[in-house]
Amino acid sequence: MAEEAQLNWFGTAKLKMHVMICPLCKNFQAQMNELKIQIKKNLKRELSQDEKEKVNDLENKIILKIKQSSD
Amino acid sequence: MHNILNWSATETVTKLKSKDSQTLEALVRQYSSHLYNAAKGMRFSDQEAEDICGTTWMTFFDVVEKFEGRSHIRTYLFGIFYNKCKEWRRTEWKFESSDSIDQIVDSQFLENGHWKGQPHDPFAHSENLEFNRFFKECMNNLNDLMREVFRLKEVEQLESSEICHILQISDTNLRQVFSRSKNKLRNCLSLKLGIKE
Repeated sequence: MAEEAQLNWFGTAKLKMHVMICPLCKNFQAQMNELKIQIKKNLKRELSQDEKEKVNDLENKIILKIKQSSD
Repeated sequence: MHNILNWSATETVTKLKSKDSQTLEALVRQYSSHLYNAAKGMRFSDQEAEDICGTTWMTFFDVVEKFEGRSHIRTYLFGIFYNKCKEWRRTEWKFESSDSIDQIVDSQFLENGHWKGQPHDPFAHSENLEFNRFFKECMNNLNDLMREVFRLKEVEQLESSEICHILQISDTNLRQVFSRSKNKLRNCLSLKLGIKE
């Protein structure tokens, strides 16, 4: 039963109910959640210092255009 | 540090639509880095990312008075952004009614719905030093639509309704693209990690 719960990504109502009560499947779900957190951390991209400066320059140009068009 | 406004407040929306310069400035300061980051995540060069961000803002200023406030301003802004990305690539992100990954996944199941082989513990490989590199490579192998759906759903953790609005796809298509993106990632990772199933 633990295997069945591990398999089906898409789930059925019965499978989801099973996962809620089966301790092995609960453990699997916990591992999947941990994995998702790790993936999210790796894929969440931070801007480098160089990129931050580029963005800051871009913001200043855009804001200057806003001010010019409101004058 | 710039002020972060409540973008859902009626007063703020009214100011945006009337192109109040202070409100627009606050919006630019808050979301430019997000736009730039999203463009770099889509593998545009530094210059292309700057250009796309710039044209996104210009278009936004042209059309902001049409914003009705039914969605978050971020959704409206990113809808414009993704259209700019598609224009840049001169391609539409078409939803395909079938994908080869569907057959690959089907072939891994018996007729009674059980897996043919024992699935592997997903956490066992996550500590493999190559795992992160492989995962990024597999993400880059996805087409633009699949990659952005996965990123917006799993990394940015946006609600499905917001993703549908931003990418202009139906909820049904979103679910199918998302499941295909996961299946392709799984298949790709299995190959790179040498997992046989």
